[in-house]
Amino acid sequence: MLDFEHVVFQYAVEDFNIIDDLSFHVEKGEFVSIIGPSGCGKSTIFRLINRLLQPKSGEIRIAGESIYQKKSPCGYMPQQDLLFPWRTVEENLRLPMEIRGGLSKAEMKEKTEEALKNVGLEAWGKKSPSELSGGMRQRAAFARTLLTGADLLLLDEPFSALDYLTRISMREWLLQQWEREKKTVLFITHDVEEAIYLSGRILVAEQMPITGLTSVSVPLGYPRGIETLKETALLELREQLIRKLRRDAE
Amino acid sequence: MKSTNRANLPAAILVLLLLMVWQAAAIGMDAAYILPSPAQVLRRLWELRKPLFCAHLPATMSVVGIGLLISIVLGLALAILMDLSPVAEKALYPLVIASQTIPTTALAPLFVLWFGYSIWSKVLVTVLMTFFPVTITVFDGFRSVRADMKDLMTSFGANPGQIFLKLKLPAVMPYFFSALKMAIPLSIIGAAIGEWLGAQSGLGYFSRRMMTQLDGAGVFAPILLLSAAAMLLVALVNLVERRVIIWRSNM
Ligand SMILES: Nc1ncnc2c1ncn2[C@@H]1O[C@H](COP(=O)(O)OP(=O)(O)OP(=O)(O)O)[C@@H](O)[C@H]1O
Ligand SMILES: [Mg+2]
Repeated sequence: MLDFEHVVFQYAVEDFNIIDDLSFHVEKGEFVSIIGPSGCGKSTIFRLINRLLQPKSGEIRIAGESIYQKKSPCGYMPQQDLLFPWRTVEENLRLPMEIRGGLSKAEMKEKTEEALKNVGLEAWGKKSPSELSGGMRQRAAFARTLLTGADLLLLDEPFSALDYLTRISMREWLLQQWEREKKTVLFITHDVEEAIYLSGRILVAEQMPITGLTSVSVPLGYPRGIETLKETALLELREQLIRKLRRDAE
Repeated sequence: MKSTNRANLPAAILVLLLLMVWQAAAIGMDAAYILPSPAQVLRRLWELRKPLFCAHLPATMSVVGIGLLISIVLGLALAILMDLSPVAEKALYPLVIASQTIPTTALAPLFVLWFGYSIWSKVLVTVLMTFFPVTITVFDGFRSVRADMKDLMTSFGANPGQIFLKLKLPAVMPYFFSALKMAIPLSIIGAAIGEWLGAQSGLGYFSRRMMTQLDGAGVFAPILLLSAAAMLLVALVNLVERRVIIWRSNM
Protein backbone atom coordinates (compact mmCIF):
# COMPACT_ATOMS: atom_id res chain seq x y z
CA MET A 1 0.00 0.00 0.00
CA LEU A 2 2.74 2.45 1.00
CA ASP A 3 6.35 2.18 -0.14
CA PHE A 4 9.24 4.38 0.92
CA GLU A 5 12.29 3.76 -1.28
CA HIS A 6 15.57 5.34 -0.19
CA VAL A 7 13.94 8.62 0.76
CA VAL A 8 16.24 11.48 1.76
CA PHE A 9 14.94 14.72 3.21
CA GLN A 10 16.52 17.82 4.70
CA TYR A 11 14.93 21.00 6.09
CA ALA A 12 16.47 23.95 4.29
CA VAL A 13 17.46 25.65 7.54
CA GLU A 14 19.38 22.63 8.81
CA ASP A 15 22.70 21.22 7.71
CA PHE A 16 21.94 17.51 7.95
CA ASN A 17 19.42 15.10 6.47
CA ILE A 18 16.77 14.50 9.10
CA ILE A 19 15.60 11.50 7.05
CA ASP A 20 18.44 9.65 5.38
CA ASP A 21 17.94 6.80 2.95
CA LEU A 22 14.73 5.60 4.62
CA SER A 23 12.89 2.60 3.18
CA PHE A 24 9.86 0.88 4.64
CA HIS A 25 6.63 -0.74 3.49
CA VAL A 26 3.09 -0.95 4.75
CA GLU A 27 0.73 -3.62 3.44
CA LYS A 28 -2.86 -2.96 2.47
CA GLY A 29 -5.23 -3.19 5.44
CA GLU A 30 -2.49 -3.01 8.08
CA PHE A 31 -2.65 -0.91 11.23
CA VAL A 32 0.90 0.31 11.77
CA SER A 33 2.13 2.67 14.48
CA ILE A 34 5.28 4.78 14.36
CA ILE A 35 6.89 5.53 17.69
CA GLY A 36 10.05 7.46 18.39
CA PRO A 37 11.45 10.19 20.59
CA SER A 38 10.01 13.67 20.33
CA GLY A 39 11.41 15.73 17.48
CA CYS A 40 12.98 12.78 15.65
CA GLY A 41 11.00 13.42 12.46
CA LYS A 42 7.80 11.35 12.67
CA SER A 43 5.53 14.15 11.54
CA THR A 44 8.05 14.94 8.82
CA ILE A 45 7.42 11.47 7.38
CA PHE A 46 3.69 12.31 7.20
CA ARG A 47 4.34 15.69 5.61
CA LEU A 48 6.40 13.90 2.94
CA ILE A 49 3.57 11.45 2.24
CA ASN A 50 0.97 14.15 1.81
CA ARG A 51 3.34 16.24 -0.31
CA LEU A 52 3.63 19.22 1.99
CA LEU A 53 7.39 18.55 1.75
CA GLN A 54 9.45 17.24 -1.17
CA PRO A 55 12.18 14.65 -0.66
CA LYS A 56 15.69 15.39 -1.94
CA SER A 57 15.80 11.95 -3.51
CA GLY A 58 14.08 8.61 -3.32
CA GLU A 59 10.53 7.67 -4.11
CA ILE A 60 7.25 7.40 -2.21
CA ARG A 61 4.52 5.24 -3.74
CA ILE A 62 0.95 4.59 -2.72
CA ALA A 63 -0.71 1.50 -4.21
CA GLY A 64 2.22 1.21 -6.61
CA GLU A 65 1.85 4.74 -8.00
CA SER A 66 4.07 7.72 -7.25
CA ILE A 67 2.28 10.13 -4.90
CA TYR A 68 2.83 12.93 -7.38
CA GLN A 69 0.49 11.24 -9.88
CA LYS A 70 -2.52 11.55 -7.56
CA LYS A 71 -4.69 14.48 -6.62
CA SER A 72 -4.99 13.67 -2.94
CA PRO A 73 -3.12 10.47 -2.11
CA CYS A 74 -4.08 9.99 1.53
CA GLY A 75 -6.35 11.08 4.34
CA TYR A 76 -4.45 13.15 6.86
CA MET A 77 -5.61 13.80 10.41
CA PRO A 78 -3.42 16.17 12.42
CA GLN A 79 -3.00 16.26 16.17
CA GLN A 80 -5.38 19.18 16.54
CA ASP A 81 -8.80 18.55 15.03
CA LEU A 82 -8.63 21.78 12.95
CA LEU A 83 -12.38 21.87 12.42
CA PHE A 84 -13.16 25.22 10.79
CA PRO A 85 -15.11 27.31 13.32
CA TRP A 86 -17.14 29.07 10.61
CA ARG A 87 -18.57 25.79 9.37
CA THR A 88 -21.03 23.53 11.13
CA VAL A 89 -19.88 19.99 11.94
CA GLU A 90 -21.72 18.77 8.86
CA GLU A 91 -20.14 21.38 6.62
CA ASN A 92 -16.72 20.50 8.00
CA LEU A 93 -17.22 16.88 7.00
CA ARG A 94 -18.24 17.99 3.53
CA LEU A 95 -15.01 19.96 2.97
CA PRO A 96 -12.85 17.20 1.43
CA MET A 97 -15.69 16.25 -0.95
CA GLU A 98 -16.21 19.89 -1.97
CA ILE A 99 -12.52 20.12 -2.76
CA ARG A 100 -12.38 16.87 -4.69
CA GLY A 101 -15.53 17.76 -6.63
CA GLY A 102 -17.61 15.46 -8.79
CA LEU A 103 -20.38 14.81 -6.28
CA SER A 104 -23.83 16.38 -6.29
CA LYS A 105 -25.18 18.22 -3.23
CA ALA A 106 -27.52 15.33 -2.48
CA GLU A 107 -24.74 12.75 -2.71
CA MET A 108 -22.53 14.80 -0.39
CA LYS A 109 -25.40 15.15 2.08
CA GLU A 110 -26.03 11.43 2.05
CA LYS A 111 -22.37 10.57 2.61
CA THR A 112 -22.03 13.16 5.35
CA GLU A 113 -25.04 11.82 7.19
CA GLU A 114 -23.81 8.27 6.92
CA ALA A 115 -20.38 9.27 8.21
CA LEU A 116 -21.88 11.21 11.12
CA LYS A 117 -23.94 8.16 12.05
CA ASN A 118 -20.88 5.90 11.89
CA VAL A 119 -18.98 8.06 14.34
CA GLY A 120 -22.01 8.49 16.62
CA LEU A 121 -22.59 12.18 15.93
CA GLU A 122 -25.85 12.03 13.96
CA ALA A 123 -27.50 14.55 16.29
CA TRP A 124 -24.63 17.03 16.05
CA GLY A 125 -24.37 17.80 12.34
CA LYS A 126 -25.97 21.23 12.56
CA LYS A 127 -23.94 22.31 15.60
CA SER A 128 -20.87 24.47 15.63
CA PRO A 129 -17.62 22.58 16.39
CA SER A 130 -17.16 24.69 19.53
CA GLU A 131 -20.21 23.00 21.04
CA LEU A 132 -18.55 19.58 20.88
CA SER A 133 -16.38 17.94 23.53
CA GLY A 134 -12.76 17.08 22.76
CA GLY A 135 -13.52 13.43 22.00
CA MET A 136 -16.45 14.36 19.78
CA ARG A 137 -14.31 16.83 17.87
CA GLN A 138 -11.72 14.13 17.20
CA ARG A 139 -14.47 11.80 16.03
CA ALA A 140 -15.75 14.50 13.68
CA ALA A 141 -12.21 15.11 12.41
CA PHE A 142 -11.82 11.37 11.84
CA ALA A 143 -15.08 11.26 9.88
CA ARG A 144 -13.80 14.15 7.78
CA THR A 145 -10.59 12.19 7.12
CA LEU A 146 -12.62 9.16 6.02
CA LEU A 147 -14.61 11.31 3.61
CA THR A 148 -11.45 12.14 1.68
CA GLY A 149 -12.14 8.70 0.24
CA ALA A 150 -8.47 7.75 0.62
CA ASP A 151 -7.53 4.14 1.43
CA LEU A 152 -4.48 5.21 3.41
CA LEU A 153 -5.10 7.18 6.61
CA LEU A 154 -2.30 9.12 8.31
CA LEU A 155 -3.18 9.84 11.93
CA ASP A 156 -0.67 12.08 13.72
CA GLU A 157 -1.10 11.72 17.49
CA PRO A 158 -4.84 12.22 17.16
CA PHE A 159 -5.63 11.50 20.81
CA SER A 160 -2.72 13.14 22.60
CA ALA A 161 -4.71 16.25 23.50
CA LEU A 162 -7.54 14.24 25.11
CA ASP A 163 -7.91 13.34 28.77
CA TYR A 164 -6.97 9.80 29.84
CA LEU A 165 -10.43 8.22 29.96
CA THR A 166 -11.55 9.74 26.68
CA ARG A 167 -8.31 8.57 25.11
CA ILE A 168 -8.92 4.98 26.22
CA SER A 169 -12.42 4.89 24.78
CA MET A 170 -11.27 6.59 21.59
CA ARG A 171 -8.71 3.79 21.07
CA GLU A 172 -11.38 1.13 21.24
CA TRP A 173 -13.56 3.23 18.99
CA LEU A 174 -10.78 3.69 16.43
CA LEU A 175 -10.20 -0.07 16.17
CA GLN A 176 -13.90 -0.63 15.49
CA GLN A 177 -13.80 2.04 12.80
CA TRP A 178 -10.72 0.48 11.22
CA GLU A 179 -12.25 -3.00 11.22
CA ARG A 180 -15.41 -1.70 9.58
CA GLU A 181 -13.82 0.61 7.01
CA LYS A 182 -10.99 -1.77 6.00
CA LYS A 183 -8.57 1.10 5.57
CA THR A 184 -4.81 1.08 5.92
CA VAL A 185 -3.78 3.14 8.94
CA LEU A 186 -0.43 4.71 9.76
CA PHE A 187 -0.57 6.04 13.29
CA ILE A 188 1.97 8.26 15.08
CA THR A 189 2.05 8.13 18.85
CA HIS A 190 4.54 8.53 21.65
CA ASP A 191 2.49 6.27 23.91
CA VAL A 192 3.92 2.74 23.79
CA GLU A 193 0.78 1.14 25.27
CA GLU A 194 -1.38 2.90 22.74
CA ALA A 195 0.83 1.59 19.94
CA ILE A 196 0.67 -1.99 21.25
CA TYR A 197 -3.06 -1.90 21.80
CA LEU A 198 -3.85 -0.56 18.34
CA SER A 199 -1.30 -1.95 15.93
CA GLY A 200 -0.47 -5.17 14.21
CA ARG A 201 3.05 -3.84 13.73
CA ILE A 202 5.08 -1.07 15.30
CA LEU A 203 7.81 0.88 13.51
CA VAL A 204 10.38 2.26 15.92
CA ALA A 205 12.50 5.27 14.99
CA GLU A 206 15.68 4.33 16.82
CA GLN A 207 18.27 6.63 15.35
CA MET A 208 18.28 10.30 14.66
CA PRO A 209 18.53 11.15 11.80
CA ILE A 210 16.10 8.45 10.74
CA THR A 211 17.97 5.99 8.56
CA GLY A 212 15.54 3.14 9.09
CA LEU A 213 12.57 2.03 11.12
CA THR A 214 12.77 -1.16 13.18
CA SER A 215 9.65 -3.24 12.63
CA VAL A 216 8.24 -5.03 15.69
CA SER A 217 5.17 -7.28 15.31
CA VAL A 218 2.50 -7.33 18.01
CA PRO A 219 1.70 -11.01 18.73
CA LEU A 220 -2.02 -10.51 19.10
CA GLY A 221 -5.03 -10.83 16.81
CA TYR A 222 -8.09 -8.67 16.51
CA PRO A 223 -10.61 -7.84 17.95
CA ARG A 224 -8.92 -6.65 21.13
CA GLY A 225 -10.14 -5.52 24.51
CA ILE A 226 -8.45 -3.33 27.06
CA GLU A 227 -7.86 -6.44 29.20
CA THR A 228 -5.64 -8.16 26.63
CA LEU A 229 -2.96 -5.56 27.31
CA LYS A 230 -2.18 -7.32 30.59
CA GLU A 231 -0.81 -10.50 28.93
CA THR A 232 2.80 -11.25 29.83
CA ALA A 233 4.02 -11.38 26.24
CA LEU A 234 2.72 -7.85 25.75
CA LEU A 235 4.22 -6.61 28.98
CA GLU A 236 7.57 -7.88 27.75
CA LEU A 237 7.05 -6.22 24.42
CA ARG A 238 6.28 -2.98 26.23
CA GLU A 239 9.51 -3.20 28.23
CA GLN A 240 11.46 -3.99 25.09
CA LEU A 241 10.05 -0.99 23.23
CA ILE A 242 10.61 1.37 26.12
CA ARG A 243 14.24 0.15 26.35
CA LYS A 244 14.71 0.88 22.65
CA LEU A 245 13.35 4.39 23.03
CA ARG A 246 15.29 5.15 26.22
CA ARG A 247 18.53 4.14 24.59
CA ASP A 248 18.01 6.95 22.08
CA ALA A 249 17.15 9.44 24.75
CA GLU A 250 20.51 8.93 26.46
CA MET B 1 -30.70 43.44 24.53
CA LYS B 2 -31.28 44.20 28.19
CA SER B 3 -27.72 43.33 29.14
CA THR B 4 -26.26 45.68 26.51
CA ASN B 5 -28.47 48.46 27.85
CA ARG B 6 -27.07 47.92 31.30
CA ALA B 7 -23.51 47.76 29.93
CA ASN B 8 -24.01 51.17 28.31
CA LEU B 9 -25.31 52.75 31.50
CA PRO B 10 -21.94 54.05 32.85
CA ALA B 11 -21.18 55.64 29.48
CA ALA B 12 -24.61 57.26 29.36
CA ILE B 13 -24.18 58.71 32.85
CA LEU B 14 -20.75 60.08 31.94
CA VAL B 15 -22.08 61.71 28.77
CA LEU B 16 -24.91 63.28 30.74
CA LEU B 17 -22.47 64.64 33.31
CA LEU B 18 -20.22 66.11 30.63
CA LEU B 19 -23.21 67.73 28.95
CA MET B 20 -24.21 69.28 32.26
CA VAL B 21 -20.72 70.67 32.81
CA TRP B 22 -20.73 72.03 29.26
CA GLN B 23 -24.15 73.62 29.74
CA ALA B 24 -23.06 75.27 32.99
CA ALA B 25 -19.80 76.52 31.47
CA ALA B 26 -21.61 77.92 28.44
CA ILE B 27 -24.13 79.77 30.62
CA GLY B 28 -21.27 81.06 32.77
CA MET B 29 -19.27 82.33 29.78
CA ASP B 30 -22.31 83.75 28.07
CA ALA B 31 -20.60 83.99 24.67
CA ALA B 32 -22.62 81.78 22.34
CA TYR B 33 -20.49 82.64 19.30
CA ILE B 34 -17.52 80.89 20.96
CA LEU B 35 -19.13 78.31 23.22
CA PRO B 36 -22.80 77.63 22.63
CA SER B 37 -24.59 75.49 25.21
CA PRO B 38 -25.87 72.03 24.24
CA ALA B 39 -29.41 73.32 24.46
CA GLN B 40 -28.61 76.14 22.01
CA VAL B 41 -26.99 73.65 19.62
CA LEU B 42 -30.06 71.43 19.69
CA ARG B 43 -32.35 74.40 19.12
CA ARG B 44 -30.22 75.56 16.16
CA LEU B 45 -30.27 72.02 14.76
CA TRP B 46 -34.04 72.16 14.87
CA GLU B 47 -34.21 75.62 13.27
CA LEU B 48 -31.81 74.61 10.51
CA ARG B 49 -33.35 71.16 9.96
CA LYS B 50 -34.50 71.91 6.44
CA PRO B 51 -31.13 72.85 4.81
CA LEU B 52 -29.20 70.44 7.05
CA PHE B 53 -31.24 67.33 6.39
CA CYS B 54 -32.39 68.02 2.84
CA ALA B 55 -29.29 69.51 1.25
CA HIS B 56 -26.12 69.16 3.29
CA LEU B 57 -26.50 65.75 4.92
CA PRO B 58 -27.22 64.02 1.56
CA ALA B 59 -24.24 65.82 -0.02
CA THR B 60 -21.88 64.67 2.71
CA MET B 61 -23.29 61.16 2.76
CA SER B 62 -22.74 60.73 -0.96
CA VAL B 63 -19.07 61.69 -0.48
CA VAL B 64 -18.88 59.24 2.44
CA GLY B 65 -20.62 56.51 0.44
CA ILE B 66 -18.43 56.84 -2.65
CA GLY B 67 -15.25 57.35 -0.61
CA LEU B 68 -15.97 54.38 1.62
CA LEU B 69 -16.76 52.13 -1.32
CA ILE B 70 -13.55 53.07 -3.13
CA SER B 71 -11.53 52.66 0.08
CA ILE B 72 -12.95 49.20 0.74
CA VAL B 73 -12.40 48.00 -2.82
CA LEU B 74 -8.91 49.49 -2.92
CA GLY B 75 -8.02 48.21 0.56
CA LEU B 76 -9.26 44.69 -0.18
CA ALA B 77 -7.49 44.63 -3.54
CA LEU B 78 -4.20 45.73 -2.00
CA ALA B 79 -4.50 43.25 0.88
CA ILE B 80 -5.30 40.37 -1.46
CA LEU B 81 -2.48 41.32 -3.81
CA MET B 82 0.03 41.51 -0.96
CA ASP B 83 -1.19 38.15 0.32
CA LEU B 84 -0.91 36.52 -3.11
CA SER B 85 2.55 37.70 -3.97
CA PRO B 86 5.52 38.33 -1.66
CA VAL B 87 6.93 40.64 -4.32
CA ALA B 88 3.78 42.75 -4.23
CA GLU B 89 4.00 42.81 -0.44
CA LYS B 90 7.59 44.02 -0.50
CA ALA B 91 6.72 46.69 -3.07
CA LEU B 92 3.39 47.88 -1.67
CA TYR B 93 3.59 47.57 2.10
CA PRO B 94 6.12 50.40 2.63
CA LEU B 95 4.18 52.58 0.17
CA VAL B 96 0.93 52.02 2.01
CA ILE B 97 2.60 52.96 5.28
CA ALA B 98 4.27 55.99 3.69
CA SER B 99 0.93 57.18 2.34
CA GLN B 100 -0.08 57.89 5.93
CA THR B 101 2.68 60.46 6.33
CA ILE B 102 1.09 62.60 3.62
CA PRO B 103 -0.47 65.63 5.32
CA THR B 104 -3.81 65.14 3.60
CA THR B 105 -5.35 68.26 5.10
CA ALA B 106 -2.56 70.43 3.77
CA LEU B 107 -2.89 68.95 0.30
CA ALA B 108 -6.67 69.18 0.09
CA PRO B 109 -6.71 72.72 -1.35
CA LEU B 110 -4.58 71.34 -4.17
CA PHE B 111 -7.23 68.69 -4.83
CA VAL B 112 -9.73 71.50 -5.20
CA LEU B 113 -7.49 72.98 -7.88
CA TRP B 114 -7.40 69.62 -9.69
CA PHE B 115 -11.03 68.64 -9.43
CA GLY B 116 -12.73 72.01 -8.83
CA TYR B 117 -15.67 72.06 -6.45
CA SER B 118 -16.85 68.68 -7.77
CA ILE B 119 -17.39 65.76 -5.46
CA TRP B 120 -14.06 64.16 -6.41
CA SER B 121 -11.80 66.47 -4.44
CA LYS B 122 -13.70 65.47 -1.28
CA VAL B 123 -13.74 61.79 -2.26
CA LEU B 124 -9.97 61.88 -2.68
CA VAL B 125 -9.47 63.26 0.84
CA THR B 126 -11.83 60.60 2.18
CA VAL B 127 -10.08 57.76 0.37
CA LEU B 128 -6.62 58.90 1.43
CA MET B 129 -7.73 58.82 5.06
CA THR B 130 -9.76 55.61 4.90
CA PHE B 131 -8.10 53.03 2.67
CA PHE B 132 -5.15 52.59 5.02
CA PRO B 133 -6.84 50.90 8.00
CA VAL B 134 -8.81 48.69 5.61
CA THR B 135 -5.66 47.53 3.83
CA ILE B 136 -3.62 46.92 6.97
CA THR B 137 -6.36 45.26 9.00
CA VAL B 138 -7.46 42.91 6.24
CA PHE B 139 -3.84 42.07 5.42
CA ASP B 140 -3.27 41.25 9.10
CA GLY B 141 -6.29 38.97 8.80
CA PHE B 142 -4.67 37.10 5.91
CA ARG B 143 -1.48 36.72 7.88
CA SER B 144 -3.39 35.27 10.82
CA VAL B 145 -4.68 32.33 8.76
CA ARG B 146 -3.32 29.22 10.41
CA ALA B 147 -0.63 27.39 8.45
CA ASP B 148 -1.80 24.00 9.73
CA MET B 149 -5.30 24.65 8.34
CA LYS B 150 -3.74 25.52 5.00
CA ASP B 151 -1.71 22.29 5.15
CA LEU B 152 -4.87 20.33 5.86
CA MET B 153 -6.57 21.86 2.82
CA THR B 154 -3.53 21.05 0.71
CA SER B 155 -3.59 17.46 1.91
CA PHE B 156 -7.20 17.30 0.70
CA GLY B 157 -5.88 18.32 -2.72
CA ALA B 158 -7.13 21.93 -2.63
CA ASN B 159 -5.83 24.39 -5.23
CA PRO B 160 -4.95 28.01 -4.33
CA GLY B 161 -8.40 29.21 -5.42
CA GLN B 162 -10.14 26.78 -3.09
CA ILE B 163 -7.82 27.69 -0.24
CA PHE B 164 -8.69 31.33 -0.79
CA LEU B 165 -12.46 30.82 -0.97
CA LYS B 166 -12.92 28.19 1.70
CA LEU B 167 -10.23 29.12 4.21
CA LYS B 168 -8.82 32.63 3.83
CA LEU B 169 -12.03 34.44 3.00
CA PRO B 170 -14.01 33.18 6.00
CA ALA B 171 -11.01 33.54 8.31
CA VAL B 172 -10.59 37.17 7.30
CA MET B 173 -14.24 38.15 7.85
CA PRO B 174 -13.88 39.30 11.50
CA TYR B 175 -10.93 41.46 10.46
CA PHE B 176 -12.97 42.89 7.62
CA PHE B 177 -15.72 43.97 10.00
CA SER B 178 -13.18 45.58 12.33
CA ALA B 179 -11.75 47.42 9.35
CA LEU B 180 -15.21 48.61 8.37
CA LYS B 181 -15.90 49.96 11.83
CA MET B 182 -12.65 51.94 11.76
CA ALA B 183 -13.26 53.10 8.21
CA ILE B 184 -16.72 54.60 8.77
CA PRO B 185 -15.79 57.36 11.24
CA LEU B 186 -12.61 58.10 9.29
CA SER B 187 -14.48 58.47 6.02
CA ILE B 188 -16.96 60.85 7.65
CA ILE B 189 -14.12 62.93 9.08
CA GLY B 190 -12.42 62.85 5.68
CA ALA B 191 -15.55 64.03 3.90
CA ALA B 192 -16.10 66.85 6.41
CA ILE B 193 -12.50 68.03 6.11
CA GLY B 194 -12.75 67.94 2.33
CA GLU B 195 -15.90 70.03 2.45
CA TRP B 196 -14.47 72.42 5.00
CA LEU B 197 -11.58 73.18 2.68
CA GLY B 198 -13.53 73.69 -0.50
CA ALA B 199 -17.12 72.90 -1.36
CA GLN B 200 -20.47 74.40 -2.16
CA SER B 201 -22.54 72.06 -0.03
CA GLY B 202 -22.18 69.46 2.68
CA LEU B 203 -22.09 69.53 6.46
CA GLY B 204 -18.41 70.49 6.59
CA TYR B 205 -19.02 73.40 4.26
CA PHE B 206 -22.10 74.46 6.22
CA SER B 207 -20.22 74.43 9.50
CA ARG B 208 -17.56 76.68 8.01
CA ARG B 209 -20.14 79.11 6.67
CA MET B 210 -21.70 79.41 10.13
CA MET B 211 -18.23 80.10 11.47
CA THR B 212 -17.83 83.13 9.22
CA GLN B 213 -21.19 84.35 10.51
CA LEU B 214 -20.02 83.92 14.13
CA ASP B 215 -22.93 81.53 14.70
CA GLY B 216 -21.42 79.17 17.31
CA ALA B 217 -24.47 76.95 17.64
CA GLY B 218 -24.65 76.77 13.84
CA VAL B 219 -21.05 75.49 13.73
CA PHE B 220 -21.82 72.73 16.19
CA ALA B 221 -25.16 71.61 14.79
CA PRO B 222 -23.77 69.95 11.61
CA ILE B 223 -20.92 68.42 13.63
CA LEU B 224 -23.48 66.85 15.94
CA LEU B 225 -25.18 65.45 12.89
CA LEU B 226 -21.91 64.00 11.60
CA SER B 227 -21.22 62.14 14.87
CA ALA B 228 -24.76 60.84 14.95
CA ALA B 229 -24.38 59.54 11.39
CA ALA B 230 -21.09 57.80 12.27
CA MET B 231 -22.58 56.15 15.34
CA LEU B 232 -25.65 55.02 13.43
CA LEU B 233 -23.58 53.47 10.64
CA VAL B 234 -21.25 51.68 13.06
CA ALA B 235 -24.26 50.32 14.95
CA LEU B 236 -25.64 49.05 11.66
CA VAL B 237 -22.36 47.27 10.88
CA ASN B 238 -22.38 45.73 14.37
CA LEU B 239 -25.82 44.39 13.69
CA VAL B 240 -24.80 42.80 10.40
CA GLU B 241 -21.61 41.46 11.95
CA ARG B 242 -23.50 39.69 14.71
CA ARG B 243 -25.61 37.97 12.06
CA VAL B 244 -22.72 36.95 9.85
CA ILE B 245 -20.05 36.01 12.37
CA ILE B 246 -21.39 33.67 14.98
CA TRP B 247 -18.00 32.09 15.58
CA ARG B 248 -15.66 34.94 16.53
CA SER B 249 -15.56 33.79 20.15
CA ASN B 250 -13.58 30.66 19.35
CA MET B 251 -10.97 32.01 16.96
N1 LIG C 1 9.57 23.63 8.98
C1 LIG C 1 10.68 23.20 9.62
N2 LIG C 1 11.87 23.77 9.35
C2 LIG C 1 12.98 23.36 10.00
N3 LIG C 1 13.02 22.38 10.90
C3 LIG C 1 11.87 21.77 11.20
C4 LIG C 1 10.63 22.14 10.58
N4 LIG C 1 9.65 21.37 11.09
C5 LIG C 1 10.24 20.56 11.97
N5 LIG C 1 11.57 20.78 12.04
C6 LIG C 1 12.53 20.06 12.88
O1 LIG C 1 12.58 18.73 12.46
C7 LIG C 1 12.59 17.86 13.56
C8 LIG C 1 11.50 16.82 13.40
O2 LIG C 1 10.23 17.43 13.42
P1 LIG C 1 8.91 16.56 13.44
O3 LIG C 1 7.77 17.49 13.59
O4 LIG C 1 8.90 15.65 12.28
O5 LIG C 1 9.15 15.72 14.78
P2 LIG C 1 8.21 14.66 15.48
O6 LIG C 1 8.97 13.38 15.54
O7 LIG C 1 6.87 14.62 14.86
O8 LIG C 1 8.14 15.25 16.95
P3 LIG C 1 6.92 15.23 17.99
O9 LIG C 1 6.91 13.87 18.59
O10 LIG C 1 7.35 16.27 18.98
O11 LIG C 1 5.69 15.58 17.26
C9 LIG C 1 12.42 18.70 14.80
O12 LIG C 1 13.66 18.73 15.48
C10 LIG C 1 12.06 20.07 14.31
O13 LIG C 1 12.75 21.04 15.06
MG1 LIG D 1 4.91 15.35 15.46
